[in-house]
Formats: sequence, C-alpha cells, structure tokens
Amino acid sequence: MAVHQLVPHFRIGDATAQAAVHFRVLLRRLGHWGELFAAEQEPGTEALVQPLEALRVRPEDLVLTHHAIGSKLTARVLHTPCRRGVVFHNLSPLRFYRGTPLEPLLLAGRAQLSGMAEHVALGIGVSEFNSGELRRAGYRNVHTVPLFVEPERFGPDRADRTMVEELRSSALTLVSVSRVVPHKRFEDLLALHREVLRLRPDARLLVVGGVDRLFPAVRALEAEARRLPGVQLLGRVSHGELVAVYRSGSVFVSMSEHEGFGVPLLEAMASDLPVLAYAAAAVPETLGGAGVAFDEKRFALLAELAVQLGTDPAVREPVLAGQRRRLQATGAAQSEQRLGAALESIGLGRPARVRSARRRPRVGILVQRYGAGITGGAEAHAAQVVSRLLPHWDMRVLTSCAVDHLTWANALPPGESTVDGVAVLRFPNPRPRPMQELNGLSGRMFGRSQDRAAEESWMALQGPLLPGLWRHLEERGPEYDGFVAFTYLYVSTAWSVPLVADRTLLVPTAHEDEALAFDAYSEVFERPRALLVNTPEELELIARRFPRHARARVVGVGVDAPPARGERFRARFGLAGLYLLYVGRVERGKGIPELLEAYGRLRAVVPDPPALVLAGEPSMQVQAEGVRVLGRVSEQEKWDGLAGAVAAVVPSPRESLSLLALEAFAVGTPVLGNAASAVVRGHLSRSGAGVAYSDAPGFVDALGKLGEERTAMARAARRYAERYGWARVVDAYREEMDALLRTG
Amino acid sequence: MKLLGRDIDARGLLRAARERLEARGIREDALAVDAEPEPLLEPLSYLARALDANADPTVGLPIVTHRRGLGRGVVAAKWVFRRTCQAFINEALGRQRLFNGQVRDITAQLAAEVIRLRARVEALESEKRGRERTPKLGPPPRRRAGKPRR
Repeated sequence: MAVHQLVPHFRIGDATAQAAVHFRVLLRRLGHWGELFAAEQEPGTEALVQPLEALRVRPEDLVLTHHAIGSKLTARVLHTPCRRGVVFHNLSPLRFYRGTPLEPLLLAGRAQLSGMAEHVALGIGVSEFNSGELRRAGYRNVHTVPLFVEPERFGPDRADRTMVEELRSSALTLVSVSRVVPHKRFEDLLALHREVLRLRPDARLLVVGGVDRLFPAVRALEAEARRLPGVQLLGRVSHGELVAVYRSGSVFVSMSEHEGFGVPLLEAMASDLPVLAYAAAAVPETLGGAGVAFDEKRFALLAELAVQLGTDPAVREPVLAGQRRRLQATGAAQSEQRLGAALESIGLGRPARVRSARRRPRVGILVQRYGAGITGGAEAHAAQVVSRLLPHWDMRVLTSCAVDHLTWANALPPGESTVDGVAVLRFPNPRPRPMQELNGLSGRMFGRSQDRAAEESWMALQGPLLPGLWRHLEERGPEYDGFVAFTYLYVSTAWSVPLVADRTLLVPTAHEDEALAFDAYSEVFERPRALLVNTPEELELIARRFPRHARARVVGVGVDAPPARGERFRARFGLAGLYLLYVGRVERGKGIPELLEAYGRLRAVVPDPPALVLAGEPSMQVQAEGVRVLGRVSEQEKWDGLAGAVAAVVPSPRESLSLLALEAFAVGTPVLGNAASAVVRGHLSRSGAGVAYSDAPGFVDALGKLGEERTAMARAARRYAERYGWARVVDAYREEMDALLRTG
Repeated sequence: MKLLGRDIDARGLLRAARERLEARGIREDALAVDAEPEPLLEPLSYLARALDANADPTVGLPIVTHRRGLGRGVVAAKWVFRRTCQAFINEALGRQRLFNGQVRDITAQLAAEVIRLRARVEALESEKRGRERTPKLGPPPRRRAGKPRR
C-alpha cells in the first residue's frame, strides 16, 4: 500500500516540491511509504525524485498527483491502475493571463481538475479555500490538509551571515517573497512603496522571487522598479539568504490577488516579521486571525499602516505575539492528523499491529550492511548485539545487498539468507551512491541552512535507497514486535524509523558530523521509543542538537577480550621492535592523513621511534617511512596486535563509541587518541589510560608522556574495560524491548 | 476599508491612519479589484475545442521571449524565419495537418457521444429514483371486522 506522489515540476525551493516532500514526511509518520515522481525535474534531484516514466504501482497503492497547472500528469494518473487522489494547490486566475502563453496551460489545468473528479477516490485541498473549489469541480471525498513550515528553519541562526551584513540597515524595510508574475500585483507593491517613500524617504523594498519576463507588463514593471529608490530585486535566493531577508525586514507585505495557501505568510511569521497582506483567496485562512489583512487597496493609508506596524512597538509586539500563537496552532502535527483522516476515508489507515503469542519477541534489526567480512564500526556493533541477543529474541536482520560502503553496490543476493544462524532479509539498492556528486553537494550544503527538500535530496544521494525495505516495513511491519535500528545517518535507517517509530529502539552511533546539522534528522532522533547511545558524550551531542530527542540511555557495547599474545603478532608480521597500532578502515575520514603527518614529525624528532602499524582495509595510498600497512587482519590477530602494542592509536576525529579504544583497554594497552573527538577525550579522561593529542607536536609529547606512565595506564585501562561487560549491555537491550512490548 | 486581525485594534488603527492622511491633505479611492470567478470547464468539450485551436501545426505559436536584450534578436529571427520559410513549413507538415484534423474530428465525435450518453444515463437514473420514491398504487387495505364500539 504505497502512497506515491506525482509533481509536475520538481525544483528545490518551489512550493509544490516542498509540499510533496512535506507530505512524504507526514506519510512516513503515518506508516506509509511512497516515492516521488516528476514530469520534469531539476538536475541533481534524481536520487530523491524519479521520472514519471518510472512509476510502477500495485492495485492497492495510492497515487497522489499535485495539481497546480495543466500538465501531462493528469493523463498519466487517469490511466494508473490503482487508487488515485489529487492534492490541489489551486491555479492562477485566468483573468491575469488572457492572451499570454500561460492561458492554455491554465485552461487545461482547470479542465483537467474537473476531468479527474469522477476518477479519484480522494481530493485534498491544501486550504479550505482550495477544498471548496474541489467540491465545486465535482469532487466528493474532499479533505483539507494545510501546508506548513518548520519554524526552527527560520530562526536567526539560520540566516546567511553575508546577506545579513549586506542588508543591515536602520531604514524601514518592506519585504515581499513571491514570483513577479501578473496576479501577484507587483505594481501594487511599487505603488505602496512609493507612498512609504513619502513618509520614510530612506525606506527599502526587498523583493525575493524570480521575475517572469515572459510577460511584457512584468518586464515594464521590472524596469520601473529599478528606477524607484530603495527597491532591491533579489531574484531567487538560497534558504539561508531567504531567512536573512525576512530577518532584515520591518514588515512583510503581500499584494497578491490570488493565493491558494500562501506559504511565505507563515515563513514571515516564523521569522518574527509582522504581516500586512491583501485578504485574497486563502490568505485570511492562512493568517487565521494573525497579522493584519486588508480588503481594499488604498496605498497612502496602507503606507501609514506599514510604517506603524514596522516601527511602533505598541502595534508591532501584539501582532508578533499573535503570529507566534498562530504558528503553534498550525504545523506538521496538525497536518499529519488531517492527512491521516483523509487516508482513513479510503481505507488507508495506519496498519494494525499483529499481537503475537510468542514468548520470545520477534525483532527486526535495521542496519545498512550486514554479513561476514563487512567492516565498519556500526555494522560490527550491530553484528555483536545480534549475536548476544540471539538466545533471547527471534531476530531478522533487514539490510541492503551491499558490501562496499562507498557505492552500496548490490554484491550479495537479495532475499532471505542466514548469517551465523540469524535470518537476514536483503533488499537491493536501485541507485549506486555517486561519491563525487555527493561530495560536491556536501561541499555546497554543509555549513549553510537548507530547506527540507534540499536536505532530503542530500540524504537520498547518501543512500542506501531501499524501496523494498520500506514497502516491507509498511506491509509486514505490523508482524514485528519491535525493531532495533543502527546508525541515524543513512536513509535505510532515517526513512525507516518514522514508519515504525512507536516500536523502534534507535542506536544512533552519532558523532560530530556536518549532516547532523540537518533538521530532517529530527525525525529519527525524536520519534523512536528510545535511543540507546554509546557514551555520555554522544548523548550530550544529541541533546545539544535535538533538545526534544526521545528518551535516551547510555548503553554502549561489551568488550570480551580473548587470550592474546603480542609475540604471535610480531612473528606473524615480522615486527622486530616497538610499534603503535591502528585497527580500522584506512581512509581520510578516519584521520589517517593527520596521523601520518604526526608520525612523520615523531620520526623527525625522536631517534628510534616505534613503528606505526595500520591494520585494516586501505582505501587510500599510504607510503611513509616506518609505516606498515597490513590490510585486513583476523579477529585473533587484532587482539594479539593490540596486546603487543606500545599504544593503540585512535586518530578519528569522529567517534560515537571508539570500540578500538575499549578493545585496547581490555588487553591493558593504553591509547593515544585524537582530542578532536569528544568521545575519545571522554574515555581517556574517565579511564586515565591514555593521552589525547591535538596536532603533530602534541602527538610527540603525548607519546612521551605515555611512555613515562605506561605501566600505571595499563592497569587503569584494564580497570576501565571491566565496566564494559556484555551481560550489562544485553540486560539493557532486553529491558528496553520489554518496556516497549508492555506499553506498545 | 476593513482591517482583519485578532491582535490589533482595527478601528483605532484605521482612524489614526486616516487622521494622519487628512493632516497631510490626502484623500484617496480604493483601487478597483476584479474578482471574476474562475470557470469550471467540462474537460471533454474543452479538449475538443483546444484540439481544434491547435490542430494546424503550420501556424506558429505567438513569438515570445523571457530574455532581456538578446531576446529581441531572437524574436526578430523567429519572425524572419516564419516569413521566409512558411512555404517549406507547410510542405513539411502537410500530412501532420491532415492527421491532426482527423484526430480532432474523431475526438470531437467521441466527446459529443460521451456527453450525450452521460446525460442519458443521468436522466435514466433520475427516472429510476423517481419511480422508487413514488408509492405503489394498489387496492385499499381491507378493514378487519371487529367488535363494534359502544
């Protein structure tokens, strides 16, 4: 029962695209999976949105088509063999576009709207105004699901700093956010600005939105605007720049004579900007009594009001307070409820959970990769948890067919299999991860605030995309008593958790990462039943970033070291003298280049330094004097190696647990750790079993200190490792699952 | 003019603003705003008409541009192309024009037929509903012979 959505044109920043992405967020919360399809789309969105031609449905599915203009979607949806629905965003009024190239598209849009009425099970208006039009067009089962904004995305911290500086001014500033097209009445905005200039000669008018030069009248207005003092046509801007504009304004003004909803009205409210808007179409409904609406255009009078609203605290403050109340009364939760009711009306309610009479709970384990020979901290963590809980739970691992974490290429066969006695169900990833494209996009997005569509687009590119898993969770999810999901970062978890959030324990394995700044991840941190985190530092990080996170408990992992002998490791790899050991993936993200630089410094200043041994799959070239790269080593070789090392090195700046440090402690080996990682710093300060370094000279000093106190540190290491027993970890998982089952 | 807003003293705000305007010697009329209702289009008739309007591929669409500067040159070039090459356009698209005309005619025929049949179905259904609502006429119920009342 997938709920797919079709949009005529998908472009990040467009209202329809944003609405489709928001609807998908709500659908996930309601337990429904679905894909996005577009007749046309902006390049770079291919991971998030598929071309219309790729749409495949089952009879029980629902296809929702977003309707805002005549498009080829209607013909397609009328002949799609499943349940159908329309999400109506309204059409621009014909009277403004007669004789223009847009007229036939608007006429076609009107005709298509009526044409679909008899053939759809569900009509959704994004405002009551739009729902009224749907009923007039002959739709019978009509529901209103209002659009919404996420207020936190419009906070002062989200404004682009450069833009804020550029726009900094004490002048009265009117803000308009809309495309410059005929029905938005740009001429009225200019008329108002002219009147405001009479009162405040330094006043500004900031206009955000593309200018549609297809219309001669618009071209003339653009020229006129450029001659008028104080007018800045900013065109299309990024999300951060948009917030900067709102935050630089005194009053938000809308002169539009037709709005099917008016998202910028809510955006202005979320940016603490008083709204002055012409009460056209759905505008009064969207304002809901907040802001100031007017029913006649008297520009001199409106200019007086704009100045007062922008400068007089006695008028401005109550309006802002009312707008904040309005925002609280609208939002994702309210729209989710409405969408849920709409879907229930066609028999698409949340699937009921199947209560089992089994003594052992049936638990789904969600993890991005799983299987013998798959390296990776979170994957190894998941495998260890599964093996320890095998005596207590009936488990099935739900994962991808990937072995390679860079491409997610399908290397293992899809479907059922067994790994070490555990049932595994694998789902293929239809789209390998394009690392170059992802890195490029990350470079453009990280450190800048984004809208939801942009973030979801990045997440889709990150992958792994597992549509089969999401369909499985929607259709078969009720058969599981609970889920344990690993690693917040990947969509195999981030988009799965909301589908089954009420029965999910999340093991986030979060560390400092630019992607953690994306608000879209709030779904995965705030919605599960509980978070099982690895360290107090990880919990602190999550609480800082997502203060409304689900209940959390520090659980970590257990470390049981087998008997280990350093001599065996030396003999196996021909190591004569002292050595430092790193175990893990040999790649840039793990801090290997910085470690090599620090080690180079050590060799330069210390006459007979220990060798540096790197044990793990290399995905970068390493050629440095005194450095040995062993490739992957066996489990026993790892323990032998750690037992024989002067110190284990943890160079990664991003750790959520640092299993390597715990394993080194378990065999009494101290740790040299990267101080950039709060988790590593925490382990070292709590244990007293190692030294942190910040840079190359610090590395040399740290090793010197470690050499002086190694015996005491080794004792401290063993004491600290005793805290990490598996029995305690298993008890914690079982307690949390039992609590979930009792109250579920 | 009316102001809407739960958090303002609408009358007070308007009065104060009007007083300030009067002090500035300004009187103004409201801008007339069209509020023409949007049409409800019957899709089959609309599509038949739209097909007719676009059936001839030798007739170009209005020449427009969204570009500044360079746009004028593009418009001029398109105009010259049409002027000088119309004969070749007609030649190249002759069969397409015939085909489009036939598509238009058959669509119009089918659309008219569907509209006629829909109306007929509706009439029959309404007739049926009417029959169901009308009570059946039959012989009056027979009175039981009972005890005469005193």
